[in-house]
Amino acid sequence: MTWPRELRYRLEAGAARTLLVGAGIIPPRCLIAFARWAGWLAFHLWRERRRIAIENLRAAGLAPDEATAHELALESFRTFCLMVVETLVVRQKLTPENWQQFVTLHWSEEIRGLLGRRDQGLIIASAHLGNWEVAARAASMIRPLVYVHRPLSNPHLQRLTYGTRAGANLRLVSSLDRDPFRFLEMLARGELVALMVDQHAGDQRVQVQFFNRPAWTTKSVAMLHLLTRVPLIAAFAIRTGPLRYEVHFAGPVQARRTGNRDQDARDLTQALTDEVERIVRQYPTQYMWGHRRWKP
Amino acid sequence: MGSSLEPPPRAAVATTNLIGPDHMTKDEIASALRDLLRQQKQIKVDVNAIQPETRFDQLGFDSLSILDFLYEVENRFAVVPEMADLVRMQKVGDLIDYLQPRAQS
Repeated sequence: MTWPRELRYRLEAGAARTLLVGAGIIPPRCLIAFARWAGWLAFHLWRERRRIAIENLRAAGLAPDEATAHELALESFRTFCLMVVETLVVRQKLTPENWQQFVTLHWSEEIRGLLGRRDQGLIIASAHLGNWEVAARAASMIRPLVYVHRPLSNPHLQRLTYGTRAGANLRLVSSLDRDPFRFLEMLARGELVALMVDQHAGDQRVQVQFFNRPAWTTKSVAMLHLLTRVPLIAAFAIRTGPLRYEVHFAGPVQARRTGNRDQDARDLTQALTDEVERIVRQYPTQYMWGHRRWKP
Repeated sequence: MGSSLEPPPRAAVATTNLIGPDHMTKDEIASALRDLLRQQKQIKVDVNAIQPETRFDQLGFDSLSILDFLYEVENRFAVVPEMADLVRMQKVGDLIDYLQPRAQS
């Protein structure tokens, strides 16, 4: 690793550590105000991400003009910073006894039943919307949950955030895990396995339509369901106010196996992507638009 | 959710444990598995050199790429392993042992 990169990584980790300490002593109201300011600052300093966010909003057809796209993108940056800061606060506040004061669940009886069945695994597809970290933590209050994540490129930050994001019933597993049977074993043990379905994927992917534009998307969620037949649902956490969230569930998804693996994976991934698009249309400022979703 | 798809049948496949005249031998299964493995782009070893003791991680599979391969195994042999069976298949020989009484030629 080159020294400028190492220096940058250490500075990032130092800032994160400072934030972590601050989250324990600074009143949440002040932290939230700080997060909104940090979102504004990031939006104005991080030009590349700002450009991507504005272009994405325009391409999705959610902003009729540049000014509206600018406004929505700014709010998207703020949401992301709020997500980071509130996650740090919530991890100290949320307990099995009080979590429902912070998180309201919108679910069908069928999904309630699936989440309550500890003898059967469950696959949860989610997206970078609202506060996905809080959604995972809340779900882990119901049953042990494994959150499949893509490791950060900064190893110092990765080590630091791992401890922050994990919890008593919440484990993080890398999507790059080398053990071929890791996910199958987790589902066989009856655990909840949560995966993201809204990022550009470089491999193990299928092309689906997202806002009427082709988007390469991981097919891992679909393949896991097609192979195991374990029920698959979608869940998205919307921020409704300071430290308040609603988790919206959808599904379970019913998938067909035709014998054509790529077609089956594409159909199912498209169904999940349609769910993501539906909720993003409802809450456009809560989506992480600074990601190159439509990368060729 | 917006899919008009039906649940996949788990029972509508051959799951008998009886070894009849139509059942494949272990050599036939191993040969068919080698054909399937040749189609997997992540395989990092010479497929002809694979032994029953070879573990799937040694072949280059990871937690996601193995799903593609197992899907093709189900299609090829018309079997649907239970979850408990899937997690026991750590080695190629485990898979052959599982398939042998179930797979029909």
